[in-house]
Amino acid sequence: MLSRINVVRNERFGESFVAGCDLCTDPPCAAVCPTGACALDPLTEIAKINPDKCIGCKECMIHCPFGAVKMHPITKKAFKCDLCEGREDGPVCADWCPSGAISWIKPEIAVKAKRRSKLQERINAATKAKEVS
Amino acid sequence: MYGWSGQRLRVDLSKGDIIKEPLSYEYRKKWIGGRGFNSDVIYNEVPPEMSPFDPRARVCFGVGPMNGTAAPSTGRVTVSCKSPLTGGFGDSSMGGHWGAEVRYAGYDQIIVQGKSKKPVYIWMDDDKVEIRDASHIWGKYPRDADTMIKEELKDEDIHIMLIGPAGENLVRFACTFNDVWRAAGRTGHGAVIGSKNLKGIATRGSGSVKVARPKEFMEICNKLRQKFKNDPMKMGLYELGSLCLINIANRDGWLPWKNLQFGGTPLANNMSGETHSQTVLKHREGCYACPICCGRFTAIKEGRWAGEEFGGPEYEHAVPTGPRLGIIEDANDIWHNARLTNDLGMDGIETGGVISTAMEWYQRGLITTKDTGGMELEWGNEEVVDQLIQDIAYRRGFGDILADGASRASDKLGLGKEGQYYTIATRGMTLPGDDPRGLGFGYGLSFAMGTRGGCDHLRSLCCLELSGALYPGLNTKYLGDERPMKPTTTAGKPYMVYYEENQKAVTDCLNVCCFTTHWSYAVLTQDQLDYFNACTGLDMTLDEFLEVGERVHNLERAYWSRLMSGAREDVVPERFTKEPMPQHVDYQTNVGATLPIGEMLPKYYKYRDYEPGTGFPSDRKLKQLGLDYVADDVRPLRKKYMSDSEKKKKKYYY
Repeated sequence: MLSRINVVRNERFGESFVAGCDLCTDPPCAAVCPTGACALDPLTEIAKINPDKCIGCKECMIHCPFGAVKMHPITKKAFKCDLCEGREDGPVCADWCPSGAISWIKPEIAVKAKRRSKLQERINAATKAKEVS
Repeated sequence: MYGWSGQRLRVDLSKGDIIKEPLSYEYRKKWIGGRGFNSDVIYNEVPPEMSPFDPRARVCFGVGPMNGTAAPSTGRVTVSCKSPLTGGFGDSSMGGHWGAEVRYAGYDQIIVQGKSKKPVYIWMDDDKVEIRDASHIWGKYPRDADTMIKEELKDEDIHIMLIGPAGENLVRFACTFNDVWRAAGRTGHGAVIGSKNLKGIATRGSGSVKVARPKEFMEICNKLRQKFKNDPMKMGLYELGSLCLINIANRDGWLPWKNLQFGGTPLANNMSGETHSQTVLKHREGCYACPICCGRFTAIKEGRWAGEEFGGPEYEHAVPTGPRLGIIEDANDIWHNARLTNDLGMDGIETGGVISTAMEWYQRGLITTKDTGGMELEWGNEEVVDQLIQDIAYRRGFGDILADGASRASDKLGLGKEGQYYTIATRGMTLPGDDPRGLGFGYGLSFAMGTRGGCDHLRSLCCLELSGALYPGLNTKYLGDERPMKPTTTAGKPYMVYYEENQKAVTDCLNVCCFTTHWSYAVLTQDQLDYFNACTGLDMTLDEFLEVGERVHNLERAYWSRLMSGAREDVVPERFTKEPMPQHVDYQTNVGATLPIGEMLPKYYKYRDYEPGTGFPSDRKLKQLGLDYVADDVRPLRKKYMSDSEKKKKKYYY
């Protein structure tokens, strides 16, 4: 079993991050696929590769801006993250990440939380100003 | 074949030969891997009388059968050689990703022998192995050499083992690195690699590790990872790194202050994990497949060292380069010293050890500025420490004398018995940053008995004393007794050390990180056996499994026996037995403690089945472990060891 996400590291500068599918809704990998093997999955709303249709032309690999598509060394077909086939609790990598670098959260919820946090910042600032005065 | 790759790589740098040797089923089962394979090679191929710098001497890099799989924290490598520091058996272990990469390239062990005429590095690209010129990277810091090799080979994702300038200059405690900052520090194999004119080994592997029962294996791994999520030690290690121990050590009186004269300092919080993570921590790092991630990356922001960045430090690195030298007021000085030893490729523990020893000689008037070339070795003098670290690495002036280790330096300076008293070393290697008068008497016993040069916090690693209280009932489960949990008692300690030594030896053979099995007890011995069996397809029992550890331990002990090191050398520094722990912090818990080593040794000998007079492993034990040839080697030496001429010799190193 091969990992569908990669940790890219620069040891010298102590930097690293997780490189994987960015879950595009208008995916370039699907747009360039000549056989329709790589297509938008209605369940997860991201691109999914059907290995039966894949001819191993590597177009998706080249066009993915995030380097998320890899070639299987034995079957010679492309493969990428499929959000664990739409698993209900989200992808397994988020469950096991020991440091919390990977987490699973729906964009709609995340964006709401972000807006709320802005409001909270204002409230905090106001309370602080009151305390000082 | 499952688990193992089934072959070892032997590189002869004199002839330029590259040989791949198969490893038989019996051999793999007998030694498991990593430290087991290495110890066997060192025992058989490096005779005790050979100089560690002899071109025929070997340096071995061993990986375990599960490196490169999904089992937690299985990225370690064991490096072994005849130690130039102690002159005896030496090995050390490092984390990082190189170990897994070696497995992906298809090898269980790498042996390097011979000596190249000019500086070289080895490039392993799966099956293709070549020896390449390294003249242009000779003398470079590991971080620069790493970048240069990656550029030369046009691959940023390869993993490289490297030595620093200290190894090239044959400093007797030089170490090796992989992934730039992950060091195998102790026993000085960096100098052995340097003596072979080898700069490093770059590795790219595209293979995989075959697992015999994948489903069962993944189930076990998932179960263990789940345990890690709620593990109390894991939380501390992830949040604060091993620096989380600083405040605990200070309270319990085992934080070495001024060469272990005191067990703590009121300012310890300056360098605690809490302070570190709030001030200079840039990034938390994990090794291969690790759920703990205790690695740190530090960026100094203020003061005269502002702008310096490096991977680390951890407890055992920061303490000898800080409080042990009397440096505590500005923690940035400590981070700088740690960075310097890393860049120069030296063992931080030994570097701090020799400098602090020299400082104590200076304090007691044994040496003066005449000996040191004008350096005033006052406690906490950062200018001198900074200068001295560089002088040691490049063997300049007084640094040249210290570069041979504290015990040898004492003899070179002609300080006699009094000089040796202050070295705080056993068998030629200085102790790490743990004072057994506070940390625990089990540690004290293992300092006397360790098989890689006496000094050792990693040979038995009896954390049942340290973190045992966080795991209720664990002492009873392992040792059948709750009493050993108290650090300052001798009850049950000999058996604890015996058990943990065997357990740790097996862990090193598997090359699993001991933070999963000793510090944190999320992975118990039975779990280790389960994932080992599932991975390799063997059906070993728990007794057979621990017997491998005992076999490795006895083989290493027999190596020391062949060097005429036995019961008379099983001692701890006299400071621990003669000087009661003074009070330095008002909340210290172990004031007045001394280490009752004499009470524990005879019982430990019984568990080990060592002979009471000589301390050599008994014939009966060696034969029981399937080491008949070792028994034949050791038998004729007993009479010699007990002879009067041997008794008169006082051996501090070999």
